Amino acid sequence: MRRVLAGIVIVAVIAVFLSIKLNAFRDYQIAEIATYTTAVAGLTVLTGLSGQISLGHGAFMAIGAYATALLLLHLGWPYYVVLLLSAAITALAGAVVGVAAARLSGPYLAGATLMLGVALPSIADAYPGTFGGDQGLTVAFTAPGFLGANFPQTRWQAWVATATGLVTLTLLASLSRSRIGRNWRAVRDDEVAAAVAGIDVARARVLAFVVSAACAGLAGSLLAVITALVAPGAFTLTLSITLLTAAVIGGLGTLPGAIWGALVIVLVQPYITNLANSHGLSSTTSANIPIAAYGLILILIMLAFPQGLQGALSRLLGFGLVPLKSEGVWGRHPPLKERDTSERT
Amino acid sequence: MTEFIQFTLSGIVFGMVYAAIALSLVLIWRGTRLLNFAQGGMAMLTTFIALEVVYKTGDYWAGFFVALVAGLLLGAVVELSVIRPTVGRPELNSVIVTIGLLILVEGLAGIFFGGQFRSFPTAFSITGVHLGKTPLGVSRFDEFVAGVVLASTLILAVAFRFTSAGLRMRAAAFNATVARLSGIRVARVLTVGWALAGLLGALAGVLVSPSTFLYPNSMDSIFVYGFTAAVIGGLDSPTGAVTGGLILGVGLSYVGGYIGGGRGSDLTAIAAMALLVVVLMLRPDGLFGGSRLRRV
Amino acid sequence: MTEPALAVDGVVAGYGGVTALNGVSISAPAGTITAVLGANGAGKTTLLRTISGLVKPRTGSVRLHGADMTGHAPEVMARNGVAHVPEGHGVIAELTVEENLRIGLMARRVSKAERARGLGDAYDRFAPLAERRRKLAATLSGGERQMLVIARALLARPRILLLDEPSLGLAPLVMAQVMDMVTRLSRENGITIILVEQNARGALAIADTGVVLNLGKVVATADAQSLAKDVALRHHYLGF
Repeated sequence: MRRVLAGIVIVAVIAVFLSIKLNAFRDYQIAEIATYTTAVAGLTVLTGLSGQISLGHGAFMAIGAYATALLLLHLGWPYYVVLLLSAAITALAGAVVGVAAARLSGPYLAGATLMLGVALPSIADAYPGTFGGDQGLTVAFTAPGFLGANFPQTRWQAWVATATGLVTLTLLASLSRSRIGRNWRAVRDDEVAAAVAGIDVARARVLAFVVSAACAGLAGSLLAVITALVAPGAFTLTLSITLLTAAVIGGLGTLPGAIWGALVIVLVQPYITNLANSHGLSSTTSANIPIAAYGLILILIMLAFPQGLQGALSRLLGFGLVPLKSEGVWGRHPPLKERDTSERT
Repeated sequence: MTEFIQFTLSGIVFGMVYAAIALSLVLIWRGTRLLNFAQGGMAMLTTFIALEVVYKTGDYWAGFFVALVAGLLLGAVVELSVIRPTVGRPELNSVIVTIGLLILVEGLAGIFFGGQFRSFPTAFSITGVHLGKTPLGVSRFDEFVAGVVLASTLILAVAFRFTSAGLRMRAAAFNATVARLSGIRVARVLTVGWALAGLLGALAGVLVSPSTFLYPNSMDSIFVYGFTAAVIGGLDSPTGAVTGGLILGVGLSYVGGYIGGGRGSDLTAIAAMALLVVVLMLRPDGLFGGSRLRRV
Repeated sequence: MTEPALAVDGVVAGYGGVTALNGVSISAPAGTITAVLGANGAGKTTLLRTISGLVKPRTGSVRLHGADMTGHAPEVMARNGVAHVPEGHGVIAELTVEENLRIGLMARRVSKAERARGLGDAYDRFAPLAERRRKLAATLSGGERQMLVIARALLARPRILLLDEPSLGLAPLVMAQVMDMVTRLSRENGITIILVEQNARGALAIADTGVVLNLGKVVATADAQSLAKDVALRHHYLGF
């Protein structure tokens, strides 16, 4: 745990340093990275540690974001209160989903969460009076007075987001090393054995959903603040898929992996777009090249580095990984044991 | 009453398209225990190819045929190049690989075909059909859609049950070890399975694109509803796929039709989710999913 | 001097980090029954899986009638006359009896007429299967399943039949019937049989040769009768 805290402090120092040195757009990106890290960290814990797949985590981010927008709009409370409240509301939603999902395994859970990710944002369109419909709700957020009138908004947002992200990572790291984390891994690896050993399987699974939903709620709240707008278009299925792919690219079940994943999704796409534009390609083409490239990267990483970037890094640096279950996270649908091709490679 | 008939019939037509996607997913699931998230994207690609053929030749059926062939080939190529290496690794890897494939395919479609909405032709009239004086809410083309999917389902079912090739596929899906030890080339069977799934997806794409227009993301929601239909029916069951498709299609048609004020169409996704939740709460393995026999 | 039907030479094989076979050699002349015996974990099942191609050996060779077939895929081995009936994987439970039998025919290219003849032969030989031809294999009793398994293996007209614990879970009377069937397979059809059995006494009673494995190594090879009489060996490795 001491190593984790040291790492957190180092990252915090780097982030603050960069936010002062770099321009406003980079500050925005730092905030974005921190936001996605928060969401991806929760998801990687849910899927990697407790073995439950979620293809709809964008829905939880939407809940956090809309909660923040509505609270700020109607009650005007200070942001830190709103942030925590949004997380709590999303955690509650996570409990509801977790209870509903407790009996589902593998692809059925995938299907249910996929539908959640698609359906939830459309509530905003269906009830435009409350939720602002397609246009969404605007969010007002200013830096506190004691920092001085000239303190850049974007830098403050970067600090808030980074702080939230780092605190989240610390708490998750501590959870992962606790009995709760061990219970999650036990349930992931062998439900029956875990139950026999006295673990309340359903409670562990629901708790994992609650925790990961809370993280997504925090991230949604942050997103609302840094983009100053909450609209259904920001929370489509694409977001949910992006979160999952980030978790896997970074290294499923690992917390540093959440940071790597967030870095990839925030930085790679604009980089490639700029590259394409600078070579004089049409705007449609250069908008689609990063998309195609991202897909290709995903495929290649899965074929070459299934443990993700963190796995590759660990292997390079020579230290061992917390072993992930090699039989996948489909829970009650184990892989075809009859196909013994693994022995033939 | 007329409204009810119209909503029911048009729901059946859409339901058949969902059933086609659901069937292709069930086919792959039964054979390889994998979910192919790129199924919709692959269907979109083959439909674009079909559109090019129709432009060049002016013949709808040429495009239709090319789409099906392209679906077969694309399915086989994907299995051989991208899925085969993930065999034996955690299934989440293949899920991410197919998601990556989906993203790649949509990006490529945007690059080569552009992002505008294209209209896709039909071979039959799209004006409403009447029973006596009552408008039924469906057209000749819709009848074609339902008929083709039904026919394909029946052909597949018969082929599976009564041909040697079908027996090989079932043996490979139920017990790959015994199948291999009996001389069945399980790897080849898997490729054929993916090819057939690609065919079904291509069929769904061509049948639904006249209604939805064709653009890189046009098959996304069809895929989501097709996947939902497969889950509702139970991923191991082809019957479930068709049943799930029909239930979903008709149910969503009622929601969109009866709930007025424009809110109905926004609520279809929520209705689908509600249906899914209800079914899975009662039967966590889908409607027809409980009948897995134990291996001896 | 004709080549033995099956010659396994110095095979080292295992799974991941575990080595299950540490240099195993056996030789089986055509038409004989070789019993492979030993405690659990001795490597008996791995030996059969290496012969049939499910496991690729790290070193060593597997020869069928002199031809080197080391490391070939199971489908290839099956089409070359090796029939392997794995333990507990005998029948495909979700298919009918007749479908299971038809799978047995897939190792060879057969015409429709040959297929009908083959199935007819199987039904003549194994009456209970004829009665249940359209029933799911899951509904068969233990003894009937073994019957189906052997009938299916026969339809493939193998030269070499690998049986992994065919009598497992069967009542003693049924066990005796299975052993009887196995004997007739080799005597009447000239099939070379490698028989892995926990029931060492029963296996040695019908076998020509006995091979005892322990911890992945061959500790004894002799004709079955001498092995059966070797009390010290029996006590030490075979438990009786």
